Amino acid sequence: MDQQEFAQRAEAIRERLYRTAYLYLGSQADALEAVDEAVYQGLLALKKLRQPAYLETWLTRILINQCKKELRRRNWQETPAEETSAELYDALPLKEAIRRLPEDLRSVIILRYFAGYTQRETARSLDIPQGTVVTRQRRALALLRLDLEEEDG
Amino acid sequence: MMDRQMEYKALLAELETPPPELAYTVQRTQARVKKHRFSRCFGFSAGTLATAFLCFVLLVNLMPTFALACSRVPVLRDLAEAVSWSSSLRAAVEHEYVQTIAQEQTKNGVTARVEYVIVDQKQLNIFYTLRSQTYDHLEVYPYICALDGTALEGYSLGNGEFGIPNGELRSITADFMNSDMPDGLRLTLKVADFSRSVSEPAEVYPNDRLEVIEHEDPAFVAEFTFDLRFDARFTTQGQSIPVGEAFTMDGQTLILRDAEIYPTHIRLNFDGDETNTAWLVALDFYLENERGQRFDTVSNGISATGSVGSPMMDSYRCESDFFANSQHLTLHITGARWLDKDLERVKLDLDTVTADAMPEGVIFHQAERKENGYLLTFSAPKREGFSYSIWDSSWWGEAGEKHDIPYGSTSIGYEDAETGKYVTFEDRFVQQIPLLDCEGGTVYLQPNFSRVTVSDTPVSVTVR
Repeated sequence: MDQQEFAQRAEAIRERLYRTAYLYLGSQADALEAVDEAVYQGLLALKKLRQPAYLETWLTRILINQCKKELRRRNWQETPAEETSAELYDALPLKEAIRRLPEDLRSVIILRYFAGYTQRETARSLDIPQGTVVTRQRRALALLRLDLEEEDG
Repeated sequence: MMDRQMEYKALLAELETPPPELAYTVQRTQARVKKHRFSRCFGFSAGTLATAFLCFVLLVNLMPTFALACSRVPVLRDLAEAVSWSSSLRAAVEHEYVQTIAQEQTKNGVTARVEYVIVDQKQLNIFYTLRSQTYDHLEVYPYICALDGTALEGYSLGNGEFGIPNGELRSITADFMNSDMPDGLRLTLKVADFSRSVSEPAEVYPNDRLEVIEHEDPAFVAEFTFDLRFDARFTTQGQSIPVGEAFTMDGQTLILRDAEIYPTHIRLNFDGDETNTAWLVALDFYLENERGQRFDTVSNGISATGSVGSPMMDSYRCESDFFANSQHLTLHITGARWLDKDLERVKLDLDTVTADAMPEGVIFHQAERKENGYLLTFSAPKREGFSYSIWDSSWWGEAGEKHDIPYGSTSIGYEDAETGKYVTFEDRFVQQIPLLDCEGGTVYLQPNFSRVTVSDTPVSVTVR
């Protein structure tokens, strides 16, 4: 893949990347920075991408790693010592509740219901089986008390 | 459950409007990658400026896909249009010698957005837009200072074209004369509403009085401050070539001391021989490289500079060959304007409408007494079809006291004060200047030049 193709495809998904980063990090500026960094890292490492067809999910994975890195830098807990109780989620604004989800549930809910990824794309991005995506999204939707379609739209 | 659903929809709606900076993610990445590779080129210590130049050009030429990416972005095409008056800046945009700033602020219904800068060691070109639903015609009064708020010295600030519509790219140029471009600076834009001033009719002034222009502060509707930090990759770009070539024109000897080559312009620096009887005040010239490519004098902005205390203009500017990869450059001088050293001040007698000596071709027609001063009328030959300013902006009384000439007017003719007839000329223009509070008698004016040289065969000097 040449740089021109990379540029075109990165531009096509930049809004999805931004939404993902925004829900991870909670601010426009941090989200922009994370997207910039992910696209930059992707361009630098372009030659290492073995399957160019999966550039989008590869970039998403880079982005999520970047977001996690930023959260660690902030000393936020990725995974609470104990799961937050369902009642506590009810009391939180949705954005905050999403951020409080365990990482394995949070990533699925963000990609599936805010960034517009299909189950298959989510599975590839997170490097997990598609069945696992289904299980985790159900669990996350229950915790957040969101009544949304589980199948791909 | 319903509340959560509404929250979900609201959050989705919030995500529908990402920040405008997101649109330039890929461009920022490409610039950053270039810098990453570029910094490897600069990784060694003590690279000469010439070496840095070579690295930059090689990288630009080896990365055509970046140029292609530039062509696909509508906003950079707007920038290319905005710099169409300058071949140097056009070349800079074509070679992506552009730093994206993308800073935006909104106050009082006005949105100011600094989009790009084109910057090198000596010149900064800022490109920005103004938008407003409230004000139809906005203009800015720009100011710059250091990032810590302290004053900068040794620069001039030029505002771009008047009357650019809201939403279109505008420009501001900062030229640093001797000092180098700082790593960053603070730009303040005071924005004035010109909507009313354009539509109101001009005031009619009585004929027996000289107009006194009173300065009024415009109505500022917003003020913005942007901290601009420059990519060092750009601010280090520039090269000085020693020349030391002497040549003679119209009996005067000049030395082309050196040439400074920047991406945005070239400066040619001259010395005048001590035995010269005239100061060089203007030069008509162009540069040419080995491929016959021509680099003309700048048509917009600073064209020449001088030193305090001397009438000589010793530094001249032309468009740059920075991106042209020239091996050789030749200066071709086609004309010059001189101020004879014995004509630095012209003595005029307003009562007899006579002068000891006049600049070449200039005629002193009349000196009209007004209630609050004198109106002097001159005519001069057009140069290549254009009028020009005959006099400097000061006059002196007989005792040597200095006064300002706040304005002048240029036209095709004048009204003869005695006959009342309107007098016009072929191939000449008329210039009138007011001497406010002048009581008559003897006054002194300083001509901008006293004679002109036109070379049928250009004087050629090798630059490199």
